[in-house]
Amino acid sequence: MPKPRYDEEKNVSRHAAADKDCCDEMEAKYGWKLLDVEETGNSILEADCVFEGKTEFPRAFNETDNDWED
Amino acid sequence: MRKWIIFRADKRQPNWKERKFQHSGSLTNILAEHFDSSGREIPEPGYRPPEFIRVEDAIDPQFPAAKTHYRKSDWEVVRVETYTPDIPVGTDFGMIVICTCQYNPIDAPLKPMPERQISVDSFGGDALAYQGYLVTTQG
Repeated sequence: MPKPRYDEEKNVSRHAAADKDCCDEMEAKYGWKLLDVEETGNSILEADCVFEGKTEFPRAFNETDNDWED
Repeated sequence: MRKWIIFRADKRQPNWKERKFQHSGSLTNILAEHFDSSGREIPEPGYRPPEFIRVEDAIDPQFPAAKTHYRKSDWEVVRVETYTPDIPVGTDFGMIVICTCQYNPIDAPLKPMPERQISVDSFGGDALAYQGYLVTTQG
């Protein structure tokens, strides 16, 4: 599994999800740390997944550092 | 290795009647749980798990029940115990971490929650559902 990369200055990240299981799957798939799952009141994206740090998806094989600069 | 990190109130902590499982109404000492596949260090005494707060004035009408802010909580870890499976093969967790906490209130500043990210993983990897959502919301 690719190593996650974090920016420790960013305290949390939030991802919307259709259900709670999507949060668990993201945590396991990308090597993140899941801090909380909350209801949103939205009819499609019914859960919020809150992760520690700035979550980043693994980079593709042909990406460079420049691709990740804000 | 995936870790299940449980934060629980120590004995004789205040407001014990307010800590309940919502689905059953049973009283509990559990305060929060984290799920960690990051490989980071486990919490140490002094760590305060974050708490998430809904501020009425900051509610997004598209997500009316969602939390809007977060901060360090009033609970502080005082002891940490770890448990590992006898045979760590085929288990859901490689370690269970129990963090016992005491109530030690602080006036931590509120921070706004970051923007909500939406991707195909928001739909469990269902690309069609994700595309359908994009069409619905951007169309």
